[in-house]
Amino acid sequence: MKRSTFKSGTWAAVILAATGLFALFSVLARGLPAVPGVLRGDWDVVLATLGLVGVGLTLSLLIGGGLALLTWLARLPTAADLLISVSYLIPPFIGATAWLAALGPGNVFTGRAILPVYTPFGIELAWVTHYAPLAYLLVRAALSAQGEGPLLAARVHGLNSVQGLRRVVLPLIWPGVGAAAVLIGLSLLGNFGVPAVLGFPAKIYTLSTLAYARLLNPTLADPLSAASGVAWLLVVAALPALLIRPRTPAGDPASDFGLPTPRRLRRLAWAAVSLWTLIALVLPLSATLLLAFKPSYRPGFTLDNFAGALVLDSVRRGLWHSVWLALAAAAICALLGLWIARAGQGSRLASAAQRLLTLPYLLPGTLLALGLILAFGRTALYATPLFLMLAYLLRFLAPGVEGGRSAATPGAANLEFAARLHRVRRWATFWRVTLPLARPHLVASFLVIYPLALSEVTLSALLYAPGAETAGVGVLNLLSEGNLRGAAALATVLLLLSLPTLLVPRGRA
Amino acid sequence: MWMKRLFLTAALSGLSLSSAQTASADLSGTLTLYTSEVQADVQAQVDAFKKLYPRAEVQLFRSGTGEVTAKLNAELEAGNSQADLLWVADQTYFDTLSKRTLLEKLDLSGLNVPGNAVYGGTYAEVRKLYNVIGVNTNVLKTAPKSFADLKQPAYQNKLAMPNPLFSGGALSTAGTLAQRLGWDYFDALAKNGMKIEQSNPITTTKLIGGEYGAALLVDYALRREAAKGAPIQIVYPTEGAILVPTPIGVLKSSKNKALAQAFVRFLYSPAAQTNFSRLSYVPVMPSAPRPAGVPASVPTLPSAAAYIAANKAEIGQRFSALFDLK
Repeated sequence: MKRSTFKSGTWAAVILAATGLFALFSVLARGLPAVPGVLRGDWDVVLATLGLVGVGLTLSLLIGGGLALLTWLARLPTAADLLISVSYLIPPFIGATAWLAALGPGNVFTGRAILPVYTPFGIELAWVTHYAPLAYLLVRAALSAQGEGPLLAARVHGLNSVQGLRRVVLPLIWPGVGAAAVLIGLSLLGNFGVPAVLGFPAKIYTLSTLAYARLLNPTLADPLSAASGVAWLLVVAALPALLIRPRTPAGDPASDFGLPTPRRLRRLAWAAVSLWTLIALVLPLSATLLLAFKPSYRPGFTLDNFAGALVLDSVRRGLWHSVWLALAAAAICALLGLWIARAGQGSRLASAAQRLLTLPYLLPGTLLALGLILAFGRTALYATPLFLMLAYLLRFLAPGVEGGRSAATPGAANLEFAARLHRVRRWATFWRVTLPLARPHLVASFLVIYPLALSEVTLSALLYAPGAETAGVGVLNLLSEGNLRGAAALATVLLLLSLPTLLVPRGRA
Repeated sequence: MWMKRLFLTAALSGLSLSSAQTASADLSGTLTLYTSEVQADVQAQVDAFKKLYPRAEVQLFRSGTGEVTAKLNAELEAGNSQADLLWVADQTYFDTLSKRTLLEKLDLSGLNVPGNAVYGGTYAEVRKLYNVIGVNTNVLKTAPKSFADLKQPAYQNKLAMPNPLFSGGALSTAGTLAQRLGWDYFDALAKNGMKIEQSNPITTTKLIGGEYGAALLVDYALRREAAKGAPIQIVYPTEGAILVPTPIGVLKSSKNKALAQAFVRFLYSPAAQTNFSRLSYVPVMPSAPRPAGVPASVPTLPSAAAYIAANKAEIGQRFSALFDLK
C-alpha cells in the first residue's frame, strides 16, 4: 500500500524517459541514411576519437589510480584528497582555456606559444588534469572500502609489499577501476568543450565536435542528417561501456589496524601530491587569473578584461541564464529525483523508466542536443531558455535520482508508512517526512548538479540562440574571436560562482 | 458615408503620423542580428542605437560567416527563423537570399549612400573591410610589398591565413587571388609552408605573438592592436588590398521590419560612421573621418564575387587538398 504514495513519481519518470527516448530515436532515425557517408569519409575522425579517448582514459587511470594507491599506502590525511580532487571541479572547457592562458599563443607568461596546445597533446593535457581526479576518487573509495585487512593478511602470509599489492590488493579494487574506466571513457567520448577549444582551431575533430561542425557547415544540403549520422557512431562507440555494469566493491572498511607507514613512502606520496597539485591546479588556475587581470602590451593589473567581456549583452544574458538555469535545474533534479526514486521502489515500470533516464546522462550530450533540435526545434520552445531547461532536466536528472535512491532507507519508508497510517495526506507526507529525512542527500545532489549546469557547454553550444545564451557559450564565443583575455575573465567569474559548492562540506560519493 | 470618410482620413493621418514618429525614435521591440562581426564592435553600435531608440533591444547571434549562414539556413528550412538582420562576410549568400526573395528592400532614401555600397537594393555595405598583409616587425627584417612576394624563400614557414571554409573574409582572399594569380599562387604558398588557422582573430593573435612573420588577413584588428603597441605593420599590397564585402540586410521574415530598417539607417548616420572609424574600420560614407594610419586612397582589388559564387565548391576542395583541411 505504501508504494502507491509516490505513484505520480512513476508517471513523471515515464514521461521524462519517453521524452528522452523520443529525442534519441529522432536522431537515430534521421541519421541512419547518412551513416555510410560518415563511415566512408570520416573514418579518420572515428580512429582519432578512439585514440584520443583511449590515451586519455589510460593516462587518467594510471595517474589517478597511482595517486590513490600511493596516498592510501602512505595513509595521507584527507587534505591530500582535497588537493588532488579540486581540479575535477574546474569544468573541462575552462581547464582547456586555462591551458591556453598558461602555454598557448598569447599566454600570460611569454605571449608566444610555450608548448603546442592546439594539438592532441593539449587535448590530453586538459582531459587528464580534469579526469584523473575522478579516477583517484573512485579507486581511493574502492581501496578504503576494503580496509587494511587484505594487506595485513598478505604480510602475515609472508608476501612483501609489492607482492601483496599485486596479488591481493589490486584484484580487490578492479571493480572500482572498472567503474572509473566506464565513467571516464564515456565522459571523454562525450566531451565537447576541450576538443572545441583546443581542437577546432587546429582542425582536430572528435566525433562530438564533428557532429557540431556538420550541423554548422554551410555547404551541406542537409546538415541535420549529416550531424545525426555522426551521432550514430557516438552511440556505437559508447555501447560497450554502457553494457558493462561494474559491481560495487564490497569490503570491511572498519578493518583499520594502524599499520606503520615508512617515512620515505609518506614523503614520496606528499611529493607526488604536491607535483600533481602544482601541474593540474596551480599552474592553469594562476595563469587564468593572471591573464584575466593583465592589460595588453604593458605590465600591471587591470579590470578592463572583465569590463570588456561583461559589456557584451550576450555575455551578461548568458551569465544570468546560466546562474538561474543551474540553480533551478539542480533544485528540480534533486527534488524530482527523490520523488522518482521513491516511486521506483518495487515497481517494475518505474525502475525501467529510471534506467532509461540514465541514458541522457551517460550518452554523449551531443546526441541529446541534436535529438531535442529534431524533436522540438520547430516549436515555440526554440530560442528560449526553457529549451535549455528541458535539456538540462533530461541531462542531469540521473544524478538526482541516484541521490534520491541513496536517501531511500528502510527507516525512511517506515516513517512514511507511519505518517500515512495517521492519515497524513500524500503531499504532506512527502513535505513533512520524506523531504526532511532526505535533506542531506538533496543537498548533495544539488551540489553535484549545480556546477555541472552552471558551466554546461555541450548542450548549449548546439541549442543556444539569441535570447537563450549561456555563460559557457559566451566563453567559447570570446575564444573564437581571439579574445583570450576576455575568456579568461569570464572563466574567472564562472569559477567564482561555483566556488560556494567547494566550501560546503560533503561526504565522498 | 461621411463618417466613414472621416474615419479613413483619421486612420490615414494616424498612419502618416506614426511613420513620422519612426524618425523620432519611438520604435520599440527586440531585434535579432545574425552576424560575423566582432561582438564588442557591434555592441558599441548597438549601445549608440539604443540611445536613440531607448525602447529597443538588440540580440546577437555571432560566429564565423559559415556557421552563421548554416544556422540561418537550418532555421529558414524549419520555418523558425529568429533573425531580423543579417550582417556577414559572404556577398554570394546575400545574393542567394535576395534571389529567393527572402530579403526586404532596404530603405536608404535621403541618406546619400554611395552607389557602389548598395547591391541591388536589398543589401548594402556600411563600412569597408580590406584584406591586407599583416607583418610582425620583430620576426621579419624586410616586409613584403606584394602578394606575389610571399612566394619568396625569405618567408618560408612564416606565413599564415585564416580558413576560407570558416571565414568569409578568407574566402574572399582565396577566391580573388586564385582568379587573379591562378591556383599556382596558392600551390607556391603551400610549398613555402603557409599554415591555415581557423579564424582571423586566431591568426592575428599568433602573428602578434611572433609565431608567424606575415599573414593574409583583415585590416581593422591589426590597426587596432598596432595602436595599442603590438609590433605590427600593415602592408597594402601593390596588387591592391582586397575589398571584402560584408553587407547587411533585413530578412523578409522579420517580425520588426521598421526597427530593422531603422538600425540599418542608423549605421549610416554620422555618429555610427564615426564609431566605425574609432573602431579602426574604414567608413563607407565619404564625409566620415578615416581611422588613423589609413592612406588617403587604398589601392584596391575588388573581391571576385562572381568567380567565388560560381566556384565556391572548387575553392573549398582545392584549399582542402592543398592545405589538408577537413
